[in-house]
Amino acid sequence: MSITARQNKARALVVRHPAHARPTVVRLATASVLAGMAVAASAGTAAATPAAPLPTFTGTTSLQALLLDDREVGSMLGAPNLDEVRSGNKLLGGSARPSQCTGAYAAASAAAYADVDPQEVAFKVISDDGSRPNVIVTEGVVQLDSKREALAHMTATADAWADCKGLTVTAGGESWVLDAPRVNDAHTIVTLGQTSVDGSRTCERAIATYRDIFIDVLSCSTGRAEGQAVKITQAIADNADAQSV
Amino acid sequence: MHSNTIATDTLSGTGAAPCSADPDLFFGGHTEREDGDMGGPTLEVMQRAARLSETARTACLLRCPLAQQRRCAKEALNQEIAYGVWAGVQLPGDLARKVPVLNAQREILRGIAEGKIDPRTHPSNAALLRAASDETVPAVAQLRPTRNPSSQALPTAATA
Repeated sequence: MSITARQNKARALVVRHPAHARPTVVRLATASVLAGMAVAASAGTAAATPAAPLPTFTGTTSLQALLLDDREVGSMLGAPNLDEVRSGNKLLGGSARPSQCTGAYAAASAAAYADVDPQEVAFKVISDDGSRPNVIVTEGVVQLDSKREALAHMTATADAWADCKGLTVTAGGESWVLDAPRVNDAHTIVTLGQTSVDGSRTCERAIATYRDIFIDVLSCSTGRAEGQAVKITQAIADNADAQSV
Repeated sequence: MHSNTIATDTLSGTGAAPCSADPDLFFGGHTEREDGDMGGPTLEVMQRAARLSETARTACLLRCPLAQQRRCAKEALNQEIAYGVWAGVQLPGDLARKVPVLNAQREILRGIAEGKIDPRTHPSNAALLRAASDETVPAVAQLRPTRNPSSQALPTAATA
């Protein structure tokens, strides 16, 4: 389906909400969807999820526009010297070992989308470019066929991450130990920590959905990456919310 | 086009170029691209690949004339190659989290191609050249032996 046709379809399906009804934080998935996931809550017991109506896209002009730019990411992570070092509209190649953990290791990896039919893709890699970068962020948004498919893919992805818990993943000449996936209290964002075997760097994976958009982020840092990918994921969701009417 | 083919085509007629004599040493690694669904390299394979990379880079630095290294650097840039050892520079592959390293390595290649960087005096090669000069046996003699049935079983892998 072309973007225009999809946009028209989205317009036809639009449900408009009064401005005051729009949630400050976009509810990305319902608790019931995530309840069956083999993941641990990040802190405490998740509160019951209110049945808030979902905002609706009405013609996102470009998936790329949902992604943060280097200044936004730099400001968010307290790293002022970041640059966009790559961007594109195709899922990324490459694999890790074990192969079933490729999606837990890397964001926007083609290997992690074999079970779905991506309609459109946009990604950016943002870093303080150099042979020894301190920060590397991969942010991707993948438009799937439907909100239902996006949520199903989120559940499947979280389950796949759970199967990689505690494993050492090797790729690109490096090895990383994967934590257990965790879900935030609002049951909207699933995260996964990674630590290099030498302990010098950490990464955080984060995924969420906004309607039929799957948000897929990796943030790596020589410091503590915890919380970074979550912030970026939420900001992308907020961008998507701002572009919906 | 596979990097082996590029190297052979580009550098044919240049005599005993190390990469022509043993292309797997220079271009055979990076299984995250080449192994299809096999699942990427093991840690052991990566460690071996790192050693092979050092051998390839050393051979390139000590045995390849500067003009040939410049040609290698230009070819890698023109073809937007992300893997292998070119002009003594190890390219890290095209995984997203390797992009900054890839860009940095390409910048060195650009300097070599334009004649602004002499690989033999570039800081990135200092440790390699120092190690080579410390060896009792010259590093140039440490290239892998010619392929035989047992060496064909040698796995190749990604290097960072």
